[in-house]
Amino acid sequence: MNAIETDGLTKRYKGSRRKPGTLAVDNLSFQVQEGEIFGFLGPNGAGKTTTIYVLLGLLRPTSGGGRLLGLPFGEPDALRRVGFLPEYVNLHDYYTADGMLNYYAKLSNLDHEKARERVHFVLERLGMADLCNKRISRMSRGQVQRLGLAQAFLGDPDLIILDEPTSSLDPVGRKEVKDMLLELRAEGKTIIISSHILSDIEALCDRVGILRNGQLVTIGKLDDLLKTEDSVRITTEKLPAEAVQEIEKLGGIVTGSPTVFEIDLPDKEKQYDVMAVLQKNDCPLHSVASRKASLEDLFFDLMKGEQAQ
Amino acid sequence: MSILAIAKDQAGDLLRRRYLIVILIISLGVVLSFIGYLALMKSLLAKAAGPSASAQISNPVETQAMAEFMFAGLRAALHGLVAFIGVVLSMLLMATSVSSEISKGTARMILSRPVRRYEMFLGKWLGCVAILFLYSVLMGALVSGWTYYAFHKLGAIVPVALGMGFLKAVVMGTTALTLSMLLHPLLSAAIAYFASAEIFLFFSAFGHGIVRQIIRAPFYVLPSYGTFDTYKAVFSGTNLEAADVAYKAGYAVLYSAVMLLIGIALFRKKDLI
Repeated sequence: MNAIETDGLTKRYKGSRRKPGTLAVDNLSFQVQEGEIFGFLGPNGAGKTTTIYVLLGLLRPTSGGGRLLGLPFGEPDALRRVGFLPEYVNLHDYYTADGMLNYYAKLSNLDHEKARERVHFVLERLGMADLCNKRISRMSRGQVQRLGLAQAFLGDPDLIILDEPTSSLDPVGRKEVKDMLLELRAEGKTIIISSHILSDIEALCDRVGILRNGQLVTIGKLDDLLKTEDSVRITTEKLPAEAVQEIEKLGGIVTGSPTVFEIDLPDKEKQYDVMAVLQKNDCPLHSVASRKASLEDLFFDLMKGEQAQ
Repeated sequence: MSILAIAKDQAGDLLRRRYLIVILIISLGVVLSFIGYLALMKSLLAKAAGPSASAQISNPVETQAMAEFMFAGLRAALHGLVAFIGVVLSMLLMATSVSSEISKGTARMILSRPVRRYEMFLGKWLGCVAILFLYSVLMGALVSGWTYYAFHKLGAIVPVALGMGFLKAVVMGTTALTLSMLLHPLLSAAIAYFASAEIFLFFSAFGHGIVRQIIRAPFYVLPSYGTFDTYKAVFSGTNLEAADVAYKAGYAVLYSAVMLLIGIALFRKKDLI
């Protein structure tokens, strides 16, 4: 079953008579399956946060629709099973950590006993047990971020939506959160992460969707998306201009300094032709390595497409 | 459940706000000063009515009547002052209650939980009403205490006038809250304050025929704040009839309910960006 499905989801913000509203999400259709970690990527203004807000019922779609945990967007019965961390964590800062979590527990309809148990658990789990009586307005940004995560996990949700969950955390905090998310996946939770930290997405996600200008550019399993980008990197030196031209004709991308050159070959099959060119020009072969593209490469390749357009 | 939790949070939040505490302290100071002034007036009045004064004042009966007239006017003004501060407080609190949650981004934290928008709206409203009630009780205790001390009797009009002041503040505040779903909170408060039905009734007197009816039309839609004014009754010391009080209370409940329904409808359509 799908935890999330959207069908032709479109959101255009209200404009004025002179200026039409921004088209933030354009005919977006995708699904997130139960039990997976789904990464939502895209540059600033791509429509990631708008999509999340529409899923939660905070924004009304201009057209299209979908379902969240089998129910229409924003339905309280669905939201009861959802934990959400916004990009900018704006908590009711006049509370202490403990007080705020108790307030949110009431809003999540947790009974008193369950609320006390969950508040204790999430504070302990996020390493904030010592700070439970500290006023939120006196907390550091990292502490507020942790507390934001604590409130997202408070109701033991089946679906967790995290917008930039590790942006304000130190490396230790990031590692802890990543480990926690992997544990939650092992428990069968569905997690959606929108983040700019590509290494985190790569380390955590089963599938990713990349947005650009409100449209889905690509979506799929991370392994599949990166497999298609398998390439070879050849390292050499003393590469004359004629040889560079020949290699580029073969589809190679040459980078480097006058002494050391790197040749990236998207087509693995052409590596022998390139080696023949190097031999012909007396260029020493330093290394030939099979290279799996990173998510960063994929992301930047897709974004280059945007600039070209 | 959620409505009460949000109301409790709202009331608690308001009680922590420094500006509200400052307003309450200043209000208390102004009202106490006014009461002190009234006490002074009362002692002067007693002197004017005493046997020693009769020799110095050419017409002690007339002087006493004038002093009592002035005193009644000041007493009515005291009730007016308490009601006015309540109205200002109400509009400030209500106009900012939901809109500040939206602008601070905390509304997203509430509404991403299983909370319906009408629950949040009503919870916020209820929290403000609770604070207004607290204000009315505090000021009511002060004014009633002084009235009893000064006259050895309370008079039914005193609590009724304080109750009317509370209802007026709730009606005006609810109007400001509803308008804040469309406009800047301060502008909402200003419009809610001046959008009184009586203004249009007043201006309609300058028109004739159809023009008069057009000017008068908003009178039937806008809230009639004048309904809750009790200056005349406080001034004369006469009580309002029970049916009149029930009508005014019913009017306040009905008008507030209509405003709340409109406000909830607007809030449900609002994008929380």
